[in-house]
Amino acid sequence: MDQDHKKLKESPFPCEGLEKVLSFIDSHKDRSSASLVCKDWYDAERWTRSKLFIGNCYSVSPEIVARRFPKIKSVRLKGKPRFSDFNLLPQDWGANVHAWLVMFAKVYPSLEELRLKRMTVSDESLDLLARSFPGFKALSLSSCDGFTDEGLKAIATHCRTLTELDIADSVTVDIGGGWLSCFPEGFASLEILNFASLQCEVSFDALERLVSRCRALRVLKVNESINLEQLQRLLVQVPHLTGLGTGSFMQELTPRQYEGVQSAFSNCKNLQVLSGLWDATSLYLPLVYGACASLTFLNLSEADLRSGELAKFLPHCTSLRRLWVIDTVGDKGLEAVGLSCPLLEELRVFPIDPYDLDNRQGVTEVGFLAVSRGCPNLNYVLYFCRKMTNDAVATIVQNCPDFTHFRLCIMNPGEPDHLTNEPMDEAFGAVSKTCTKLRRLSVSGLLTDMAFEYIGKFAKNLETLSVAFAGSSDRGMQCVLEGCPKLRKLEIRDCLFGNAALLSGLDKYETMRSLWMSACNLTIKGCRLLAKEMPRLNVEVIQDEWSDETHANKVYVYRSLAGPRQDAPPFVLTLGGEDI
Amino acid sequence: MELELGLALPNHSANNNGFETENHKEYRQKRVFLEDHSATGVEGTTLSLLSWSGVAEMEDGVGRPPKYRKPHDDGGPRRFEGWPPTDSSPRRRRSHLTATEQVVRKSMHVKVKMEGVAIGRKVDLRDFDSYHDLTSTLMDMFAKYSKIESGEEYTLLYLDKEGDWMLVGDLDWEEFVESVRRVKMLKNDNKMGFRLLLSKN
Repeated sequence: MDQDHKKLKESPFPCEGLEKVLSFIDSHKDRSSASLVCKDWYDAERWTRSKLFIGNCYSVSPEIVARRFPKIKSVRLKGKPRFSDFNLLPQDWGANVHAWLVMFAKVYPSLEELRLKRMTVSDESLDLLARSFPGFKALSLSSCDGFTDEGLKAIATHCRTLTELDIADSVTVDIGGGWLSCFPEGFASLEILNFASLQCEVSFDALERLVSRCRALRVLKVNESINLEQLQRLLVQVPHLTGLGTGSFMQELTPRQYEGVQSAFSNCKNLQVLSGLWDATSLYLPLVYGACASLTFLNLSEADLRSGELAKFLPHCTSLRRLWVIDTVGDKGLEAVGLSCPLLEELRVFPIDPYDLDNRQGVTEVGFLAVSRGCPNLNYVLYFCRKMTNDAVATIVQNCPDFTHFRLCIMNPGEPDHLTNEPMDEAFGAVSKTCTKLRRLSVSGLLTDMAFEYIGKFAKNLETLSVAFAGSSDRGMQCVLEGCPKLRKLEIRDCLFGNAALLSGLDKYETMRSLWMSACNLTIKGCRLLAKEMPRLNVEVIQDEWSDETHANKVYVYRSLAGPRQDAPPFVLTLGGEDI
Repeated sequence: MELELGLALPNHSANNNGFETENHKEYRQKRVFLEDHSATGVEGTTLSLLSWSGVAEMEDGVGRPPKYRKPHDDGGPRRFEGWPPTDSSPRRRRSHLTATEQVVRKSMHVKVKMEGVAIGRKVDLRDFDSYHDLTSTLMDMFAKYSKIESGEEYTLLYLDKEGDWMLVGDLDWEEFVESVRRVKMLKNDNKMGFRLLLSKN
């Protein structure tokens, strides 16, 4: 390392100056660009990088990272491909963080932050984490699995300077709540605590004491085990919260208690984010109204509200920018959104019961149209529905041309436009043409190759595309691969794209983070050919009950500096291009 | 510990007229009783055994367009594993959504909450073939995990697929199983009326 530094000192550009300038650059993309200018810049950049972002944990190895970056304080690491959320990846597939932690413990003792997404994290790993980094501050586990009470106990016990513990929607089964009681009595540094997704009962006493000690607490998201009365006692301790996730609303309150809770909420003048609200009924929902004036993000995805309840709620939230709801609010509820939320930028509508086949429930194009009329700033939508029309989508994007994320999920696979019975090609054509800033797109409904022609032709800023039950031939996938210059992630399931489609992207995959294809028409032979032509890609076939010697049912392709996985389980076949 | 539940079989034929109106579901005011599991059993109509093929056929109706059939299609009910992709929402935790399982309801896990107990329990409805069976198991289950006072009576409510809380017992067992999304057990005391109001969503 000293040699390198010496070399820097000898360069014509004063390295202290360069390092100083580079230290202001946070974005990992900019830093990546800077590192490519010349050797001096590469060296200066690696010495000054303190935040590490790895979008695919298998694209690089801990050793390579350790060699290049000596001074990392913050790590963001993502593991499994996104379709693992929908059970398309077998258990024990991988993305275990342990090897990374072992390396971090050795090379980055001043590590302060670790943010993981879709990784397997064992109790042993959490214990290692807790003991290896004396200045550790922030742990965030998003959609992770593999840990229990024991691991969390280690964190609570040993991380003396912890400011953030966020266990957002990680999967834990039968976890105990004893970990919360393990924070020492003198521990008072917590600023963010989110255990909303944990199914466990915590000691309310311990929680109350913890909250009263942590004067800097600004985000508190409790789980369903905390009732309204208990929530009130917490709120009076920390009325300055900017983010709150309530517990369950299913409790019978006396009029006096009701007033108490209402008053506690009304004293929360700084609230920007509100979530939780399990079992909230029209009886007790008004309790929160007093806290909503400065709310920018309202997450009602745990509260099955009806249109009337939502319509009464929204006028209290005049600053709303992000709203998540369940489709029980119906088109009428969404009309209320259009009327009450002029500043809205993000809308997510989740289905209460994705398998409800009555087709009576939920929202349709009517609701979406209503929102688009009233909310011109809309740029992010996730919309689950059972019917949609091409015309409606075309009008919606005319009203809201600034979409960066357009995720439309028509829940019945292959569903056509319900008025004209035609494919939904024109809808996504309109989205691609009109939304020039589009970065992420999920398509659904009955789609032919036409839809993909549109996407390839117009969606020039597209980075992520999710496709299911669509397309009429290999040409569809080819259009996307050839047409979208910024494509980074392509995930496809249940389409008839075959080897020709796969191989049409030969030149493309090294510029992308990853490709996922499942239940398509790929064969092992086709995958081997890809592996042979592109040796720097990992071409992995996951074998399951649908596979045989020829059919490759689940294929995961990604670029990697680390070569084939060393930790692949027996059902993951890494193809090397031998014996075609 | 003697536990008594309020539940009985409906003494009317299973027509759905009472459930058609969307916004104004009335609670049946009658209290209904079931003997505990040591008694002789429930009088009245015999329940037919639950038939699962009915559910599977419904799923078939969704039908995947023929060109998307998987190569190893066994011709059975279509299985769209992991579809719709609702796991991206925090709601995947809710057990009445089978978002993490196959669409054909291979398992029928329903969350049951008992008043006074902070964390609910999950049951698989396929394990039961009658209300009696279900309720006696529930009482056993909660008795194991929480202190239930003797002589305590409970009223069972269930969240139906339309999002309304209904008194358990109004439907045939089969229809109930198809419709139920969650179950709640509330103590029978003199605040029952308030509770029912509370539960109305």
